[in-house]
Amino acid sequence: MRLKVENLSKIFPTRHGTLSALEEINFEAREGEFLCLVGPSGCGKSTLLNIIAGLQPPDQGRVWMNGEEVKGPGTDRIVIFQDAGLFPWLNVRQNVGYGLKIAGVPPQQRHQIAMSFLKMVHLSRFAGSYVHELSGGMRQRVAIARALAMNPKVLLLDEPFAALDSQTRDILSGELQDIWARTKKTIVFVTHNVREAVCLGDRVLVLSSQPGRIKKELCVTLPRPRSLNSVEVGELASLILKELREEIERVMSKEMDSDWSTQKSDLFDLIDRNLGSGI
Amino acid sequence: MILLIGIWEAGSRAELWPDYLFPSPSAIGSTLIDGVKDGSILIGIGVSLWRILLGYGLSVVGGVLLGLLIGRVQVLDQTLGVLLVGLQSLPSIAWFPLAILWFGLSEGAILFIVVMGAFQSIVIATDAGVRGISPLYVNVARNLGAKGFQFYWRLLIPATLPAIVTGMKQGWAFAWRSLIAGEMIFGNLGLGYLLMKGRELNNMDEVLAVMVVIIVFGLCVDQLLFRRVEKKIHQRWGMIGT
Repeated sequence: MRLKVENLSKIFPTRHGTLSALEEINFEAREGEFLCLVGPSGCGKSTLLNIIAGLQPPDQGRVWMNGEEVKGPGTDRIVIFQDAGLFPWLNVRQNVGYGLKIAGVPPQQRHQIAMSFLKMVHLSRFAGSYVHELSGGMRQRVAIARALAMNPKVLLLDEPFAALDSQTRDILSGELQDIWARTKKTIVFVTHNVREAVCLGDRVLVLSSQPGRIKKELCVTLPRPRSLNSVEVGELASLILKELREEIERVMSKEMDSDWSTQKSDLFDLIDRNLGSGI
Repeated sequence: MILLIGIWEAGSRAELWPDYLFPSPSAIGSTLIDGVKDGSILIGIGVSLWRILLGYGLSVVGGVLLGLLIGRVQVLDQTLGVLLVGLQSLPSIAWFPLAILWFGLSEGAILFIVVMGAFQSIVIATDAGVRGISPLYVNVARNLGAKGFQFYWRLLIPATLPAIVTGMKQGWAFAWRSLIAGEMIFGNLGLGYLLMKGRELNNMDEVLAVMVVIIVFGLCVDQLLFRRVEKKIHQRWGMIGT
C-alpha cells in the first residue's frame, strides 16, 4: 500500500454559509496503480488532489504515504496541473530541472536527468525553447517530464488534458499509459471526462458533488493499451455517465434559476435503448 | 523636434525676447561645448552619476527586499505598506530639513533624499508584483520542494521581475529628480549645483545647458536601458505577442 486517504473532509466558507467540498473520503491507491477520480465540476476533485499533495490542509481526516502522515508538500507526490504551470523565465530544460536544482542536484547530473525525461516525452529538440514558444500539448509534456524528473512515488494529475484539443488529448493519453507502464508510478488522475477515466484507470472512483463523496467504485479490466475512442471504453463510460447524469442535474438545478430543467438528450436515450449495454 | 528648435532659434535671432531671459539654442550649444571642454559639465555628470548609482542601488536592493516581505507578510503590509503608500504623496525633497539634521550638509543627506525618492515606488511595485503572482506558480514551486530562501530566490523574485523592472523604471525617474533637487539646495559639483551656479551668475545659457543635459541623460537611461530590459522581459514572460 502506498497512498491512503482516510476520512477526509473539507469545508469552504461561502457568503451563503458553508460548502462541503469533500465529505468522508476514503480510498487507497496500491503501488503502481492507475487510479482515476471522476466527478462533475465543483465536486472538490482538485481540492482533494491539493490536499494529497499537501498544498492545502484538510479540515478533517488524514493522508498517509507508506504509513507516514502527510503534513505538507513533498517531492514524493508531484502534481501535474491543468495549466502546466511552467515558469516563463526558464527554458524547457531548466523547467524540467527546477525541482532538482532546488534539491541541490549538481548541474551536470541535472542536465542529464532533464534531458532523459525530455526524451521520454519526445521534446528533446525543444530543450532550449521558452514557454511562450510551446503549444498547450507541448507544455503539458514538459510538465510531465518535470514531474517525472523528481522521481516521485505518486503522480497526481489534475485534469491535465482538459485544456487541450481532442487530437492532442488522444495522443497524450496514449503516451501517458505508455509512460506509466515504463515507470511503474502510482498515478492518481482527476478528471471530469468519464471516457478519459475509463480509458486510463485500473480503477475509477466516481465522486458526487456538494458534498463531494465517493459514490461508486469501478474496476476497469479492459486490456491495455486502450484508446479513448474504443467501443469498450465507450460502453463502460456510458454506465458511469448515467450515474453522473442525475448528479449533474442535481447540482445544476441548484445553481441555475428555478425554471431550469435538463433537455432530454438523444445521446442518453440511445444508450438506454441499447439492449445489453453494460453487461 | 528640429522644427521646434528652428523656431526657437529664429525667435531669438529676431529678438522677440531678450537673450538673458531665454537664450537661443546656439548659445546653449556653445555653452555646452565649452562646459564639456573645460570639464565642468563632465565633472557635474560624473558626480551626479556616482551619487545616483549609489542612492539608486541602495533603493533597488532595499526596495525589492522590503517589497517581497510586505507582499508575503500580512503584518508588514498593514503597517509599513500603508505608511509607504501615504509617503508617496510626499516629494522626497521634503525630507531635506530632516536629512540635514540627521546627516549634516554631507553626501549622506543627498543620498538619503535620492533613496527616499526611488525607494517607495520600487517597494510598492514589488509588493504589487508579489500579490499578482499566479497561485499556480506558487503551488508548483512548493510542490517541487521550494521553501524558505529558495522560495524567494527561485520563485518570488523571478516571477515578480516584470513588476520589479516597472518599479525600477519609475524609481529611476524619481531618483533622478530628487537628486537634482537635492543638489540644487546643497551640493558640491553635480548637475544641480551647476544649475544653481548658473542662476547665481545670472548665466541662463548655463542653466539651460544643464537642463538639456539632465533631460537628455534621463531620456537615454529610459530608452536605452529600461525600455530594452522591459521589452525583453515582457517577451520572455509571454506578456506580449511572440
